[in-house]
Amino acid sequence: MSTKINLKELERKAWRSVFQDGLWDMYLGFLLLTMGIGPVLPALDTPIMWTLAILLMLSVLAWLGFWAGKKFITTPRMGLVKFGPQRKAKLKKTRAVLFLSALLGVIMLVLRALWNVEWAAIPIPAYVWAVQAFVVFGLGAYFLDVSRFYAYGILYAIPVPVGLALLQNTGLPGLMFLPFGVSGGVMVIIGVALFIRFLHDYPVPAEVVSDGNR
Amino acid sequence: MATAKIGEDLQPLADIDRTIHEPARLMILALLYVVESGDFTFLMRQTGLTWGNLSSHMSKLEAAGYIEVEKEFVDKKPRTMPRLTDEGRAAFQEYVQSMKQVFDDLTA
Repeated sequence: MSTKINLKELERKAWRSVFQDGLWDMYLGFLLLTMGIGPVLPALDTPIMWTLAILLMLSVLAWLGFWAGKKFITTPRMGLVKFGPQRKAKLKKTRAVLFLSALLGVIMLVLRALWNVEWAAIPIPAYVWAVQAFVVFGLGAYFLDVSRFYAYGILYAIPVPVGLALLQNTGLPGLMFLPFGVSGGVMVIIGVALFIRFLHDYPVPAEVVSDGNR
Repeated sequence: MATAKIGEDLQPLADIDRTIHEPARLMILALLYVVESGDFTFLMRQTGLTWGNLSSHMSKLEAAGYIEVEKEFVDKKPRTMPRLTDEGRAAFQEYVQSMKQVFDDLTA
């Protein structure tokens, strides 16, 4: 035997295969791009409720795209797996962290939209966002065993403070999209690259009928 | 006399579970040991076995009572999800222990 069989590593590898389709990357990147549109729409005299509605719609679309990708593209190619209790416990912790983070993010977005506050005058939330993003993605990377999520934590942390700095220095709300666009764009591009490679490496097995049975 | 002694020393090797001690079946059981269950496509992808090969080995493992096939409906479509039985889990653990012991003894 040339290599040892490590059961823990075997499980980890099976788990990581869930993330090699690039869908998470595209989804998270698209969400960031959506967030970047948030400051731009009010600057175009879009009513606040419309802004919120558009952001919500785009977020839902992103989720639908992710769900459809998993169901119709990934699962027929990779198959379906149910992981054991330890992995399920880690998933629960990740979901809890993500839920709290999303809640905090929504609260901040709503406050921003409703109050239309000059955030530059109140810089604390921007740094809260940055730290929160880094911590959440860091925990996600740790619990989910996906190391590139550490980098995504940085990509998620940067846009809000940088966007506010741009707003403060230029007075142009539209420029706030720039850091979101760059960070989100990087993640989407990575996701697309992973997705293309995934499609190439894992064609739908010829023997698989649509429900994946033998 | 020397032949009898060698026979005794090698007896543990002869007692190895032959159902498990086949590379493809060992891969399948190792995978099902670390996950709760996985459908055929998943097992095929992870093991690199062909569909026919996988199916054949799965039948043998099922006949030995080491795996059971769970049938469920997902979106009104039937789906089969093989999983280890308690017997299969115990047999795999025993196999791993006995292989470790065998090679420890041989190299001692």
